[in-house]
Amino acid sequence: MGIYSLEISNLNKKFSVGGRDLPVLEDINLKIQTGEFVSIVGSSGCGKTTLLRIILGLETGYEGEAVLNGKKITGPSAKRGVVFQEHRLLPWLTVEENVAFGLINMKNRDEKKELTDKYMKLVGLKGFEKVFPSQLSGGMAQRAAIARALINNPEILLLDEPLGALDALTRMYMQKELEHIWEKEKLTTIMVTHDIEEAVYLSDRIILMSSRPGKIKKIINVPLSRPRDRDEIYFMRIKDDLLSEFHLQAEKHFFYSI
Amino acid sequence: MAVVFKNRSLPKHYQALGFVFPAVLLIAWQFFSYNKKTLLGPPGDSILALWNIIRDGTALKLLATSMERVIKGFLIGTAIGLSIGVLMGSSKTGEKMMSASFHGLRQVPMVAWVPLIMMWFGKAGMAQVVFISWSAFYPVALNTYDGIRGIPGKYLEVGRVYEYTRWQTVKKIIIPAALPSIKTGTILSLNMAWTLLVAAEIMTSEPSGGLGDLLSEGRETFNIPMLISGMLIMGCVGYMLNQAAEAVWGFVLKNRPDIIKQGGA
Repeated sequence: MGIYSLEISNLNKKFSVGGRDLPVLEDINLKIQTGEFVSIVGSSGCGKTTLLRIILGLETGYEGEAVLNGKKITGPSAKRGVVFQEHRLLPWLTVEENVAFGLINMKNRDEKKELTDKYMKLVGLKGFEKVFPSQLSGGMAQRAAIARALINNPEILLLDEPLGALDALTRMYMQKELEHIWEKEKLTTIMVTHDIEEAVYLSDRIILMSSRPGKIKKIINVPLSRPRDRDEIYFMRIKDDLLSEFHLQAEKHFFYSI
Repeated sequence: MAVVFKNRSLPKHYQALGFVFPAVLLIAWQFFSYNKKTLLGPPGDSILALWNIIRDGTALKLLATSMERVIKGFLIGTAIGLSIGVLMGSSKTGEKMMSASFHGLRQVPMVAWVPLIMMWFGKAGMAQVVFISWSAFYPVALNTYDGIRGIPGKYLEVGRVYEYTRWQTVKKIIIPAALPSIKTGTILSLNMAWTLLVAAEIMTSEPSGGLGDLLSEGRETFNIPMLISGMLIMGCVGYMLNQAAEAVWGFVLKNRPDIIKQGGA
């Protein structure tokens, strides 16, 4: 097993479109350490979400393999927590019931209640137990979704653009919260995002993907101490490097001439 | 504009507006029937006839018989419709197996089944229940099936992620998500059952013991007030049945703000 939690080797995935095979992911090799926060960044259509869905076990029919803690991934598992871009809370359940959604097979009611309370508190939703998702703000709904993903004590947390639908201010606040939760739970986390600043702010490593077919273009380490300062020179430099990879070079900052 | 008004509560006396149209109708009826007694007869005659059968208990007896048939038929039809709907909606195999016969049989008009059902199940009693079950079956089955097929895949995926078994998925995701459609289906079914009951009851050659007798007997004896009193009872009771169904659903769905928000049928 070693220190690697997740190992993906020689992964190829094709979608069949109108009878023709369309390569989506090509030759993906990836090792992720236990407790690491890794972001997958790429323009839309680069297969980053497909890669996440493969790890989640929702996508099958590919070459190569994905191994999590020594076990080959063949289908979904409650031990892999996921937060989707839309919160996907069930509208007919209260927040509390939604958070406890993954505990369906837990017979002990007290234990269930205790766990639910613990995670409601962790994401700062104490007092909103009996509220329905439609009554929550976008940020709060996403917190509930995070609590739901964490309650089964997963081996890995998979985030599919979890903050993508939030407004800029809420997003920055939630990034902080996410970091806080990650540090507390010491969880191996993979986040798909197209927000480069978000990736630099949260990740230990950033995987840059190129499009059609999706390939790993570059892996970038972010050796900055936490919590990170978005205005700090090294933060901005990493961000700029990433942006330039997208041919979207931002305005050059003065430090390039230092 | 209607939406704006909905949120404001109307003054109490506005409730009385509902009586204006029937009153106008009644006056018109009285006016036009004044000289042509044989064709329709003034409303007073029909109301008197209605009062008489209520007073001597005939109305209640007929109603009880009809009501029993409707409720039995409705419950049987709904139970089967719900099961078939869930089966077809949530299982690919089930859908493949049932779909052709389901949609094929649906094209046979309901009333076309009457002779066959009469021959199989005797003339009064059982035949009506079977016929009503059959007519209550389709709206529920169809709406349940449609409702389930319309469930967003994103909810079903959440179930897959948490390793829900098929049964858990049906119980915790499919049924709750399809509940608004199931509600529509049952209300249509009840409506259908009540409406077609009469068809079933007047098609028997001998008295069926239900409300339909008022119609068939009224027709045979040219007793128009009797005929109309039967129609009045059917209208009123049908309306109350519908209200009762809405009330039951209101109770069942009291913890579903997601449905109440969409507004009831």
